[in-house]
Amino acid sequence: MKGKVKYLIGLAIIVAGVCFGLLSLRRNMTPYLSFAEAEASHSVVQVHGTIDQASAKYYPNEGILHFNLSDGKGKTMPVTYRGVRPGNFEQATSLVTIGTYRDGAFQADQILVKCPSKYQALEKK
Amino acid sequence: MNLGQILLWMAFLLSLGSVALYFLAERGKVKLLNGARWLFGGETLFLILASVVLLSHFLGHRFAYRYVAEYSSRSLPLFYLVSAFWAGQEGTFLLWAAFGAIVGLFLMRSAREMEPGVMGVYGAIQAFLLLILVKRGPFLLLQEVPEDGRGLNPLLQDPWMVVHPPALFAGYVLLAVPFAFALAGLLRGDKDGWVKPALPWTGLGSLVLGLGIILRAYWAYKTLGWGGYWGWDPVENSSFVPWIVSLALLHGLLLQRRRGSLGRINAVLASLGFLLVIYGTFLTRSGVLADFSVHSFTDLGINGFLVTFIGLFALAALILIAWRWKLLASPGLAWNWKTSEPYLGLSLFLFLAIALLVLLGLSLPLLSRLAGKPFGVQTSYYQTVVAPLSILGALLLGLATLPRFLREGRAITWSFYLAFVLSIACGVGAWALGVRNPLFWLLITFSCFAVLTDILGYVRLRARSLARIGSLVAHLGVGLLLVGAVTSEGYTRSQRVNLPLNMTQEALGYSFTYQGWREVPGTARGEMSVGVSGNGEQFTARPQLFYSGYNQGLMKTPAIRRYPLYDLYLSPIEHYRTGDKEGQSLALKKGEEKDIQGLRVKFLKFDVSHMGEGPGVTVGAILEVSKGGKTYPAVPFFTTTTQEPRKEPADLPGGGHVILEQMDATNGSVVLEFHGLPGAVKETGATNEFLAMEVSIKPLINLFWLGTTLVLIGLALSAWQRFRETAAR
Repeated sequence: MKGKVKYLIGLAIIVAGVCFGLLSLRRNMTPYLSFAEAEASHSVVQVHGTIDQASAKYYPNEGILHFNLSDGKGKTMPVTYRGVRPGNFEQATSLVTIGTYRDGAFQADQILVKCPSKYQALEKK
Repeated sequence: MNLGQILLWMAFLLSLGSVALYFLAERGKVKLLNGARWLFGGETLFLILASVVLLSHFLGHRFAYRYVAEYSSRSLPLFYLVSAFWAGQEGTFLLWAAFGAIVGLFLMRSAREMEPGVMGVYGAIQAFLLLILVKRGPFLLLQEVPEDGRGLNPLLQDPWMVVHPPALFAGYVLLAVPFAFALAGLLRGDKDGWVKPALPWTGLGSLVLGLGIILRAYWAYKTLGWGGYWGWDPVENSSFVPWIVSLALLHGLLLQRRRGSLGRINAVLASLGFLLVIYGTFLTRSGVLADFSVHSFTDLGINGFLVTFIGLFALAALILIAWRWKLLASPGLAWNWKTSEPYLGLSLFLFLAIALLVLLGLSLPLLSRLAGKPFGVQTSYYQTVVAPLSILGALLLGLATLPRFLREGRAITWSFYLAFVLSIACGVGAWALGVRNPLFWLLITFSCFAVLTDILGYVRLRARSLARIGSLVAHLGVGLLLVGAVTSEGYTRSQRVNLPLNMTQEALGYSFTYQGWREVPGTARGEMSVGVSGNGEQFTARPQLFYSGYNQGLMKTPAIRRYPLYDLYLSPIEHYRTGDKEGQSLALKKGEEKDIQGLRVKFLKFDVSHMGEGPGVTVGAILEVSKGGKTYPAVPFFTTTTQEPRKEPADLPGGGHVILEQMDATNGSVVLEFHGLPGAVKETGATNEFLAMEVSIKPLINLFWLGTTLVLIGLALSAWQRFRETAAR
């Protein structure tokens, strides 16, 4: 009986672990939003759009990338990304970015560049 | 239809025949067994022939085949020409089916009296893979034969990349074996009979799939240059989840073999492991995750097949398990903490919890899309979820050795408590070294506990059975890899450095000097030379940074210097020249002359000779540049486009270049911008070339690799032992 109690404690801990996991799922969910929705939201979201390459400016010294993203429905949004510019950024046409809309610009934590070639790992971060 | 397609069709038809005969044999027509075997053998032969044919197409550069044209080129070395076989999806399905057929030949003998049922289910899986191959194989022809192929992605041109996909697919094949055993057992109403023969196969499957996963992690660390080995990407997760399930099954089968318990759970786990393989294949190849992954996938038009594949097999498993639910009732576990059973049981739930939570994160985009608005999940989700469960796992690993110490009596048991005390000491040491995050601290301390109990368990208890030693080695490996993962992921120190050419800069206790870029002889790759000194040594690191025409992007490969206690990881970010912002402007009218930085520049006239060539308007400014009494011509061009104008610079005598920034045709004036003139960047002594690089120190990362290696060795030892046991019987 004593052993059974210990087992129940163990199981309870694991159940607690799973509940914790589900809670963190809620916290870490990033909804896929339109530009207007992203601008209204204050949490981490992901948006998808076409890169306006002419607007892209990269400052390698500081590691800052600015560019405009357009949603194909006439809306554009400035994006600021601090970090390493993905190697195929200049050739990319569209991308997915995860971040927060703040102070009139989308502050990207992560950008996923969509590459024209298939089934291959590309740049992370 | 060409030879390859004919071979695949033959294999497909034979596989159908073999499955039919095997199921008839299972229903009592034992005479058909031999026919079923021959048909399966024929299927194997045709699959091997089809693979040979595909290989010969690659070696013979037969670009008429789309697959060959898409993944190879004439210049590809032999080694990579062979590996191009599995560079794309169609080829990987062929590899998968061919491995499956070869494994089937061994399974046929190993399954003994269960052969008809096991091979019937296993053969049905093969038939489905062959159906996909027949529908969308690698033998499609192109309308026009290209001169040369597209070539192989340079990212894939790495020895580690060559070996990991075959290992993964062999692992997938092996996970189908316990599934086949479980279903055959259910079909027959044999509750425990399948456990013994399935156990070594489950171990082998865990080993091979684990090998594939770890090789891929090593490849990512060594070549991708984003600094890590595991990114919780959907592609990684889709093989990680079945692997964790197969480990759960391995522990569950051990319990069922010993005590006959967990009959229901094991039947579910065996089904789940295989179904998740197909589910993962579907997720990563169907394009449903295209917006959530760094991998891009094209839809091959086989989604319907894959969904039917999962649906049918899931339905079969579900019906069989429900039908035999009563029969599967088994004695509960003896929850006596002095026996190993509660620990095995808890480990199973822990594995299952990890697998299901990762699966949930992986499936969220698909599930939420079905429900309406698509949601993704950040990679931080996986870290927050897996960390507490790993802490429990490490604690459990340490405690699990207790029954064995207790069995040996008081004289030995004190070693277990010694391990506990020593691990607290490790915890104090970790605190002293700066580990303040409570989760990390617990993980390190409990992992040390697991490692110490395993080492003492080996030393004091003299494990003799190979399976025992295997489990000790694997568990030791888990403890070490957890410590390595915490230190290398949680305590990596990184610093970004901008290195001007031939100027030394300090970072993280090392000094770095960028010495230039060169093309690696005999390849299309380029590498940097970076002089590194520190830690009592000097060496040249060669991170790679080059433009790849195949990927239409910059390829970056890090340079790694290994030390026993840490890795120095140099990841190139960007190679650039300054001057874009620091350029000096000069306004000139036609015929005017001005001085700038020791140059005398005269604007003669506009060059309009390139007007009408291509789209846009191209105008040049004809300049006369004098330096040291000599005069040189220079003509920068300006082309208007629909977007920003394109400016073609002209070189200047003595280095630097000039750009035509603005022009006014009516007034006959231009604005020129001069870049990289000597003296313009006075401090650095005329250099304008920079390498931006991320320098990281990853502490104790070797523990991670050592741990993963030990896990594989441990799995190999125990699988070997269990195969010997079943063969002896």
